[in-house]
Amino acid sequence: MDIKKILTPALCAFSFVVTAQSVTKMFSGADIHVGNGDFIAKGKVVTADQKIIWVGRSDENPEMRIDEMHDVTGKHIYPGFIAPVTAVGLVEVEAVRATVDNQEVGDQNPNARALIAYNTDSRVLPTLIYNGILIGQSTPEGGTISGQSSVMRLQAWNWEDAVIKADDGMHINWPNTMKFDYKKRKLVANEEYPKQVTNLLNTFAAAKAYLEGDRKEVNLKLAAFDGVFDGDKRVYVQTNKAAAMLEAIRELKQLGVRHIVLVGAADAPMIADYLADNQIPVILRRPHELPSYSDDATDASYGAPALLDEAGVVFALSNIGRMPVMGNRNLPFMAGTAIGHGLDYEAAVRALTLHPATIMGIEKNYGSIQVDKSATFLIASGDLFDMRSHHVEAAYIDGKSVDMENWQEQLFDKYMKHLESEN
Amino acid sequence: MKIRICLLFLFLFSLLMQAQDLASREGIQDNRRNLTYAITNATIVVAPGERVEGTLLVAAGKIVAVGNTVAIPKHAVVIDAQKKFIYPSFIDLNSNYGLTPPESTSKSGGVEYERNDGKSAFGWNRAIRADQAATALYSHNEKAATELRAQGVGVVLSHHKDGIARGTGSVLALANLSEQHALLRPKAATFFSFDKGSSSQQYPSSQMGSIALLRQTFLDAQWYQKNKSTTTNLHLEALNAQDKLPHFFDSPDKLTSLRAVRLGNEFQKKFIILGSGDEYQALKDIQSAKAAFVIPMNFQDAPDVSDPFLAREIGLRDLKHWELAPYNFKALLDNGVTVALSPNGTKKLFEALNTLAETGVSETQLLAALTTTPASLIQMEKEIGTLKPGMRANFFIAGDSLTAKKNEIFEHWVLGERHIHTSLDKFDITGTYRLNGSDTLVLGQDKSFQLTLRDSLAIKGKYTFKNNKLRFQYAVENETFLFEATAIGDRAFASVLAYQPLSGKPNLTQTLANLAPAAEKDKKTTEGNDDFDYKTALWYPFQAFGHEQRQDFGNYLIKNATVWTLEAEGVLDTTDVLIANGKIARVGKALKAPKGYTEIDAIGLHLTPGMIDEHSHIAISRGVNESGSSSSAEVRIGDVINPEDINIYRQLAGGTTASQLLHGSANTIGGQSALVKLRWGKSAEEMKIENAPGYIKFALGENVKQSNWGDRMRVRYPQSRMGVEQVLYQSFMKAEAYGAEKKKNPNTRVDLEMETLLEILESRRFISCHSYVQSEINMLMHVADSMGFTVNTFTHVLEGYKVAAKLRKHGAAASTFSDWWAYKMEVNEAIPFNAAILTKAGVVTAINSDDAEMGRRLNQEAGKVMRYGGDDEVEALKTVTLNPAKMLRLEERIGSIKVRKDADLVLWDAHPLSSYAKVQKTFVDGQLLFDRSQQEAAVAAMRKERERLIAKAQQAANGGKPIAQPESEIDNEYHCDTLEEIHFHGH
Repeated sequence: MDIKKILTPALCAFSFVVTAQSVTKMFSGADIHVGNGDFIAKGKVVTADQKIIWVGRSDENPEMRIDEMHDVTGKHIYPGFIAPVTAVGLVEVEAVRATVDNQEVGDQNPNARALIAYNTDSRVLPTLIYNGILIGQSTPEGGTISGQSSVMRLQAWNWEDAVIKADDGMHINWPNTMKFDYKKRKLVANEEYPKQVTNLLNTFAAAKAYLEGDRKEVNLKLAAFDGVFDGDKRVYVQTNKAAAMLEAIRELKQLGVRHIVLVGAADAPMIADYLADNQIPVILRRPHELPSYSDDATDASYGAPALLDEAGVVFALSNIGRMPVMGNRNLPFMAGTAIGHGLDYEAAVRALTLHPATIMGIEKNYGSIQVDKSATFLIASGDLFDMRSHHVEAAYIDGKSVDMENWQEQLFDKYMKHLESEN
Repeated sequence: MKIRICLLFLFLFSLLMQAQDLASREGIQDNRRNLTYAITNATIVVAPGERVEGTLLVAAGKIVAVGNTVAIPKHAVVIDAQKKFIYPSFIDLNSNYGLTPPESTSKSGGVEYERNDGKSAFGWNRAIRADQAATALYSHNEKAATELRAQGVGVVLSHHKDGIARGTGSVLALANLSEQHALLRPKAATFFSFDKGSSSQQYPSSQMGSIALLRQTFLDAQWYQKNKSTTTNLHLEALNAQDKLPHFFDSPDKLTSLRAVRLGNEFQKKFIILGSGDEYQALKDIQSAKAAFVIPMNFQDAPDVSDPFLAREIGLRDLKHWELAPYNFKALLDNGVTVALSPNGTKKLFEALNTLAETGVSETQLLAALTTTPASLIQMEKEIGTLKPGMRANFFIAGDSLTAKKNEIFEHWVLGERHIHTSLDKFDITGTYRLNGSDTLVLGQDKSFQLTLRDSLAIKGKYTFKNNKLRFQYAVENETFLFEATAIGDRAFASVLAYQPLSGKPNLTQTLANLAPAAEKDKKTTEGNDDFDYKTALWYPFQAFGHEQRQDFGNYLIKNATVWTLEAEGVLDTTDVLIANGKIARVGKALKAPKGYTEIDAIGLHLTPGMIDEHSHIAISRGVNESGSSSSAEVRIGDVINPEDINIYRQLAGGTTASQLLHGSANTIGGQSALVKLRWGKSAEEMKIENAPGYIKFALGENVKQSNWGDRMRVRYPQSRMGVEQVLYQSFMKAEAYGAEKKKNPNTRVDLEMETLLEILESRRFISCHSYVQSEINMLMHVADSMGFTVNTFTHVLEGYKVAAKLRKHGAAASTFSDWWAYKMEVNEAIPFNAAILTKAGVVTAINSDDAEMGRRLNQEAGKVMRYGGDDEVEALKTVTLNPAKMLRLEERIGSIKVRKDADLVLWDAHPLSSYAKVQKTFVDGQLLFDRSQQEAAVAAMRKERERLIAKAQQAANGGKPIAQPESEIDNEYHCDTLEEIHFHGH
């Protein structure tokens, strides 16, 4: 085996191995949005097989063999965008029950796994790729404990080769502090709230005890908590209310849950400093949402990402709200809206790339254009956060060129031809 | 003098005659009601503002005499009122006292579209119950009557609160006499509402449906009266028989009240509104409605604000309502509204009266609203409401005046029948007493006492007060004492003693012997309300971001903007636009501002026309769908506009200035649209675009065939696209026949549904049709072609790209989503390139929202046209401005920047199609209705107001007042297929 050692000059101090069979590709001349908040004007990226092996400025050059040169001058390179907490691959047509696979019956389903229901041939996936979403966190919903998500590539042959991280986390819906009273047509305090919280926490306590025991009697629901208390498994807590967030953090920490992630978290700006101090990350509901309260600023949801960023909260953008799958293709434009409302541009990139990767625990390999990471990135002819210029020219997942074709474009072509024939 | 007495006797005699019992009775009769009673030594409030100290003479159920010179006949039973107060009994017009609801005639199970209870001589809809008479349901209920009498209520107007036309109500006296006596007027008034009540029929499922049903019913009644019908309709006959009675309308909120008044005006019916207590929130409109109101006085307790997070959930206007609700009465009086108070639902009436008094209304006003006003509203002012001779003897004896902080009813007489609640000899001893030296004694209402001796020794315990004897025990230095004193009046005692019960040895008696009330400190009746003026707390509309005053036109000169004219002039750099009197007056370079104009520096900013949402469901009250039938052409969104929806303001903040408020898509032929401008702060009527053409919503596909409504909803026709076509043909053919009949016969019964369809056939009303797949789009064009009209707009039209040439040929416009799909089967082939293809085909194409959130960033949706196949940014911007204006036939007035067009304009801080663009200012008719530079201050002001109210609520709670669980009104967010109460998601 012919091994060549390369020392990268500027940005990285690691060393890498490239085999003779490896194909090295250099992409040069594009503005690189690194994903960690950095920006490299007219930079260069070198990949070999699945990996990024070198990143540099325009005046830097790697000492290595380059097999393919890609001149991408004037274009932009972004890490592949990541869509957290979505029914991607699980739901095809929302209203057609037969195509809906993201919700199990019953209130607590910790053992339900999104992974195996993931449909790589969903017609929705290519429409997300078309707008730069390359990775999705396929997530069950419903009940108090919805089940476990997995982090998936949006282009693959089957769920086995699609998966990046299996069963990365448990998703719970924290009980609501308020409930709707149909008679009064009003929101009223939920009197059941304390009881519902206790029920949920009891399950965690039972799981902890079960896992510490001999586990001789099989209990799939409790066994599903493996990794929550002593491993890598995230607990994603969905709630929009500040009081609920604070309670969830306090109680789950006390129970020994290691990785708590807040999901939805509309009220997060209210308690942003607390979240930053306690290093609680947030997957924020979609910014294109109405404000929670009538006396909030009209653009409160648009401005929330900027407030979280200012406070130093690790947060990801999401499409949590309506249109659970297809709406993800608007993630870049939601980032655009957030930028218009005060979010730093590179922070917006980070909220779609490195931050979600970190939150899900795949940041060693994904989420930024950095050496030794997976070559999962986008080449865009314009600013991806603005509809007027948004255009993904090419995308790579783990170094493999992504097929950008999609059914909707095919229909476009087909019926444009039809129209022309009728004229 | 002699003559007078003689007359008096004659009068008495006739009274006695009147009071004869027609029933045959067994046993020995003991009718003391017919005796003469003289209640002396009283402060008698004969009528509002008319006080006299003297005697009230009562006999045989009526007032005989009142005044300070009344001679007491020998045969009179004399009652010493001991300086207490006598008031005429309250009259409650909003009651269902004594009525037992009839048994339900609904057949259980199933979804009921057509009436299935077999009552054939009635109208087709169960919510019309005009034949219902309170008399048929009435029986005396002594338990309920006792509770009401204890609150001061002596007479009620009682009706069965069920249905839209509720039939007649009766005036009932709360005397424990036979129903023959207590029923003062059997059919005193007729009642209406927009609440279908217990009817299990699907129609009406929305308030606009209720409005349409009532309009049609009144039209039918008029027609039935004039024309000899071959069939009998008992409901219409009942309605016609009730025509001369006072008409009451039971309303859940102020907006509904205004709608009822409008409907009443259409039929020359003057509704008296059983109001909701929030009328002050739309004071100007309530005032112009010129209706009398009967308003509640059951004020809310202060909300529980102890948990700051839960306190945040309380809507700002809920908080404000808590503070302002007691001012409602005063506000209505101040504005000249005839207003009665209804004690119904008020648990502590005297507390409520005190609360009202604290707002600055007089006892006279309060009493009038509870007696003479309600009496005259039911035309019984000659019989009840005052204590003048000849009136019914309905009155109560109270310990203090109406507005006193504490009060109690001792006796309540109804029709001359005496009800004793508390002995008149009972004295009020609660208060603080000064003993000898600096010692004090406090006697609480809860029978607790606190004795403070030698400044420091505080002894607490419970006292008893029976037969006017005050007693309690206490211990000092291990010795127990018994305290005893006899009351001889309010806070007046004789023979005060304290002694050791066992030895009988008096001790400390000397100290305690002097039991005199301590001077009452602060006799303040208000709690910091003295300098509170409700007028300054009102907002227009009554909602967050409401204006403190109603806005008017402004005149502006916008300088040096990049102006997107969307006219032949294109995009103009560094250009000025002059706004005068609501219109665009000039567009040009280096314009000079006339005097009095506000100049706006717009260097670096973009100016576009206000955006127009062809498909919006904001600002709609109580139901966007009338789903009770397959054709509801008779319903009108314009009847149920909600000018207080916060989303109006939010959309202004996103640059939207006009919208078509559409009926939903739950049925094939939906309802009539309202074309509005987002005139925040104006009334529902004022929001409507003047002289706008008529539109109506149609719908095809999955929603109208109820595909996604669950397995229960499988009986309404149609259940397939085949049936949709047939519904359309049948409806239009019926309308055609109706039109022909009308030409022949001027007495044809007016049918609101047919009238609307006829307008479509005659191209006087235009269709916006919810549609998805190409087959159904094609179908409707065929129906229209064969019936001789054009489909104005296909809305959604997600497969429009497949039939783009056909759309152009038919002349239909297309209003679509930028990129929605995958939410149901019929959008499986929806593509985001739709708008681009349609535009290229020459179809007038718009992008709409159908969504309150998206409606505030239509510019971004237009921007997506650029992302998906569009190549011209001016064309893209037109999809949310000029093109929707064209399809709404308003392009002469709005949609582009052109002299003489309405000044509906938006200033942006970046390219208007960019995701980074923010609205800086939005003008509607030259009014600056959104100004970003004022946002921070507005939000801060609301925060301050919230903090003030929360502090006030906290203070109330600390003061021991009861508190209520936090609650918040929510603004309904409607989509195409939102059904009232049940929410189906999708579009």
